[in-house]
Amino acid sequence: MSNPLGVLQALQNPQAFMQNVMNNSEVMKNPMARNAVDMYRRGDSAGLKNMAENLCRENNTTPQQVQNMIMSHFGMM
Amino acid sequence: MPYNPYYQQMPYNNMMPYQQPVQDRMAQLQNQYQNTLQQAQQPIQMQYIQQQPQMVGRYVNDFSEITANDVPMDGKWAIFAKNDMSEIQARAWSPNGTIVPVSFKPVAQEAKEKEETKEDYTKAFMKRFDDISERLDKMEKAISRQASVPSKTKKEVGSDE
Repeated sequence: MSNPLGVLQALQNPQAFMQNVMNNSEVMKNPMARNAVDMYRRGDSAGLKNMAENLCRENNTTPQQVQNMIMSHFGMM
Repeated sequence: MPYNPYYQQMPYNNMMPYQQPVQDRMAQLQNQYQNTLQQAQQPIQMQYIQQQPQMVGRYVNDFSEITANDVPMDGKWAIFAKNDMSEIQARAWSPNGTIVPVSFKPVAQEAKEKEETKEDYTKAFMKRFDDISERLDKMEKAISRQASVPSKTKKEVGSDE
């Protein structure tokens, strides 16, 4: 999600955002997105955290760095 | 100007060049109508353009060059081949957010063929050796049989005397 407005909308109403994601067939074709949605439905926060960590590791970054990047994006740092 | 009784017909004759294109136009329209009718009667053939699945990947000097952005996040495999073709690696994102690599290495076909031919030669030689030893055995038996026959005859001769 590169659109900051989209991130803001997702933060304001996460449930509506997730519903939009689930309704998007293109997104649901992606096995990783499908797995994330499944984990969200099950309330598997540990699984989601693990996935986020894996994604960060593969992109040579850390969750902390990503968090800092997002916060600086919104002028919170 | 002398009186010409056919003068009145001149305009009619002059009209002919105008009438001809009109007739041609009518014929042309008729043809167009016929063609359109024929085309409408033909079943409409929908041409589906099949999109060939595109393969993602590139040549690399080393697999360490590959970044996460090189692997598509839609679950498709990306193929990376070393420049010297010593190894090919396929990579895809797994559902848990890790990149799964699968390596393909070339099989040394020539070495395998050489081993096979070596075995074939060995087999052929061993068969020939077996044949020779079999013949030698036969000859040995024949010689021993021949050697045993004269001794018997000598004994027999001696006993007769």
